[in-house]
Amino acid sequence: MNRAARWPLPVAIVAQRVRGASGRIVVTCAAAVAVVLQPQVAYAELRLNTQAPAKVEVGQRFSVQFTAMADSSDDSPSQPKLPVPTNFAIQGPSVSTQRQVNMSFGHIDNRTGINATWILASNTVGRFRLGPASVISGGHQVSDKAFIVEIVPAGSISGQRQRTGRRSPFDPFDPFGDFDPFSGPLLPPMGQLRQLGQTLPEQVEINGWPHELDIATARDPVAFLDARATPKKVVVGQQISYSVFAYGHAGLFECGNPTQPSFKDFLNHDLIDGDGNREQPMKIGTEVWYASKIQDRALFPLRAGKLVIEPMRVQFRGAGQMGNPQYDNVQRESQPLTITVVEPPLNGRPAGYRLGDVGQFQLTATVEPREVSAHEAVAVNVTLSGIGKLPQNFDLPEIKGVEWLEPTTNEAVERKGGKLAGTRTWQYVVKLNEAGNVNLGKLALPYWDPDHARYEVASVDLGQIRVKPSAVADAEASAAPAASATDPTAELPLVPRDKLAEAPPPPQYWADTRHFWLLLFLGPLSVIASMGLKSLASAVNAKFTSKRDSVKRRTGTQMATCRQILANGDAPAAASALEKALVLAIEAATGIRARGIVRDELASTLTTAGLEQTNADAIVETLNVCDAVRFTGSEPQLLARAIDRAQPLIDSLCRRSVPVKGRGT
Amino acid sequence: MKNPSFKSGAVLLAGLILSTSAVAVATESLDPESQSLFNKATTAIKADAPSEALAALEQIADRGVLHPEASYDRAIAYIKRAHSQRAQSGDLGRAVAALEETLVLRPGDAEAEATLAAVHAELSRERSRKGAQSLLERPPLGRALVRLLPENFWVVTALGASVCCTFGLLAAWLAGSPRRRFVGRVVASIAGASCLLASGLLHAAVQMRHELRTGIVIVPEARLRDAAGLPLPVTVTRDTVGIPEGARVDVSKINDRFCEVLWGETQAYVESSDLQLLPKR
Repeated sequence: MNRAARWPLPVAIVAQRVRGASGRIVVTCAAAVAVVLQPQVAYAELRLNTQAPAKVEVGQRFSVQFTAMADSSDDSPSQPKLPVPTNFAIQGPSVSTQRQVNMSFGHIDNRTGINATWILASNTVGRFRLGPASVISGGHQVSDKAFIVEIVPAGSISGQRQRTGRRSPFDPFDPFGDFDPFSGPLLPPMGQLRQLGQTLPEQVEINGWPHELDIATARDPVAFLDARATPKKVVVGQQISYSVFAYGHAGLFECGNPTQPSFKDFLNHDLIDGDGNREQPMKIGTEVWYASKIQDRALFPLRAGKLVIEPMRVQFRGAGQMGNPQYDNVQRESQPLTITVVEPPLNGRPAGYRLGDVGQFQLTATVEPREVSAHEAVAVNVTLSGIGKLPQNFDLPEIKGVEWLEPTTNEAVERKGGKLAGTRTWQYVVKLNEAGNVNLGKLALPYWDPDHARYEVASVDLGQIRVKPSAVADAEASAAPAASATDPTAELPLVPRDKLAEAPPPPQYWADTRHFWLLLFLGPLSVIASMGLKSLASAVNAKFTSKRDSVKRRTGTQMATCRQILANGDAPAAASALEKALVLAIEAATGIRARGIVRDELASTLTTAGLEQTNADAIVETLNVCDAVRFTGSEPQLLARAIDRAQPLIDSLCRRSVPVKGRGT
Repeated sequence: MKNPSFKSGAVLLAGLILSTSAVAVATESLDPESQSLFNKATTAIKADAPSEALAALEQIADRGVLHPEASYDRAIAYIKRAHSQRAQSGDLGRAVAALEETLVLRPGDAEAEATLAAVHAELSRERSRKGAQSLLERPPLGRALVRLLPENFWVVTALGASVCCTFGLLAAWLAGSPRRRFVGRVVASIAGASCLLASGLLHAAVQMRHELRTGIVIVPEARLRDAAGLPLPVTVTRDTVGIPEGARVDVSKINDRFCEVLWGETQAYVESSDLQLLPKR
């Protein structure tokens, strides 16, 4: 599927199709037509190449590599795409950039491009058309040719491989044996190694790689890191074996610019040996990979909790001067790991156990000489050996008259079956200040044995020393207490309490009582709220009272005027005043403007507004009397009686005006 | 200038409040294993073997057992070791922490207070010998005021003021004579202001109790750091780069490696391993 493409796209297709037939003239003509049709287009040649296996077993993962190289960096391809049938699972693409510089006959050919890799698999048997793979270059989409992949039943290719294997244990140019390297577009993924002159494994079986390189599936089609830590649940101080493996699919590689993870919560020892970085050919599934252990450390957690080992980052590049360009700028990081760290159990923990003392240890000691004079010294050499992080110190026996001077320590650490082991030696000078048979006591180191999940105590008995009396002045012995006698604490008796007295219970905090803050402010706030409510009620009451008084006052004034006018003999004017007082009272009580309503309907309207029928009738009758006096000159006595009847009606209406909200007077 | 009689009265009231807080006196007994360790420790201290005693006493502390006697004996063992040839740096700071723990578990323990004062004096003298600063650091006024008296004192004060304010308001509202109403208004005003002040202090005390822990520096000097863990330099407002051994600090935040501490006016981070936190009671 090697091809050269020129834009615009139709011309590229024409050029591709005619190549290999017979049409050099046709190609020339097509190119000429293109130049004629698109004279202003800046052409750039794009070389496309798609590689995929011709046959794959059902469920087997296979890779499709698509390379697009452009003459000009301005037209460098991007956004590779590979259409596949729906019954194919596809992963990727993993894209890396490439740069090729070829020198021939004084001409420098500089190309830039990309290499995209997809991982595919299908569970359907048959022949399927995949692709064409395409890229965007110079603002156009450029496609390569589609290709056919045949999915065959499981085991059918394995059989062929076995037969091939009998002929040749390993063909460095066809490690799979099931690809046809001469079928044009259907080259195996590893085919490119041959094109680029990579070093493939010699004639050896790729089945002798260390088991620690085994991994179930590749996490990336080109390269990846895999971090491992065992065990994942430990106690504080227990060794964790931490390793990082680098895997590359495009041939031998080197790892550069490593970013080490921080081991802030661990003590760590590098365990990697000189051969650790050698890449080994191995297989992941059926694919050939190269793998290398790039980290091997013994970690000792310093505290309990969920401790995280951060990822490690490296940059892959092809090994040697002609390194595989697929690795260019490929930076990968390992996965973060979480370690659960707990403290060893409290039950059964021996006194003097220090958190972190974990492993399997033995203590030995030598004491020489066994007989000295007072104020002379003996040499005590203590050796601690075992597996695990060797403790820095241990408690020395405290015996009166025995003075342990600062020791000299030596340490030798080695790797023992993946675990850190070693010996630590303390060389003490021990002064014996009192004569007699002095028992030096026992050295003890409690530790937690993770293999047996129990506490152990490594101990050694130092035995007795015969101390002969000496003529050295006792002043030496008393010098130290004299110096400390000036300390303020020296005046204290410093007597321990050996009886457990009663301990007071924890204090109770009253502020933590439920609803304390509500109770605290309840009294004052209740009084203030009551005062406020009372004031509010008074204000409301005063408002309504003044409103009622206003209506009553105005109707009263009208009635008084009415009576006065009637006394002066002007009955029509008195009738008008009476009517006005009545209308005011009606409006205050019901909100109805009585003058705007036909007299015949007034009684029913007032009844609807809530007045009693008798009162409504009395109001209408009074208003009729007023009209009669005003317009027909009826007898003034009728008006006087009407005034007397109207007075209680008006009072009643004024009382009704109080609870009615929003009615003006 | 404080009035001594007022102070003694306040302390008396505080003691009364504390004593009334303790509803019952409980006997805290140790489990058999802890009891055995405790006996072993006291025997070791008497035999001038403080390291051995400390191994047992720290074991008791690791088991989560808190008892004033165990804490006191731990302090004694640390003091003895500090004066022995096995002295380790930070022994006196650890002794201070153990004594403070004793006083948390049994407030008013006179013997522990006297021992604590002696250890502080020794630390101060040691520091002055080296020309370093003293342990004393003045806390901000607010914190000092809140801690002037026990929390329950502020509870009682606030409640009393609240009751007085209530009666004053009732008198101002309902009393028949103008004189009584005036007296009511005065009482309500004074009691209301007192209630608000005591409530504010109480609230601050409750917040501090919930949000702050007390820690003791158990290394010769706890280096002051910023939030990223970088050492802080000396500045105009801060004339030191570390907190001395035995100093008492308020711890506001604790993470894996660092604690945010308030020491006097200084607010900074120190390594968590530089501090021993006191139990909360």
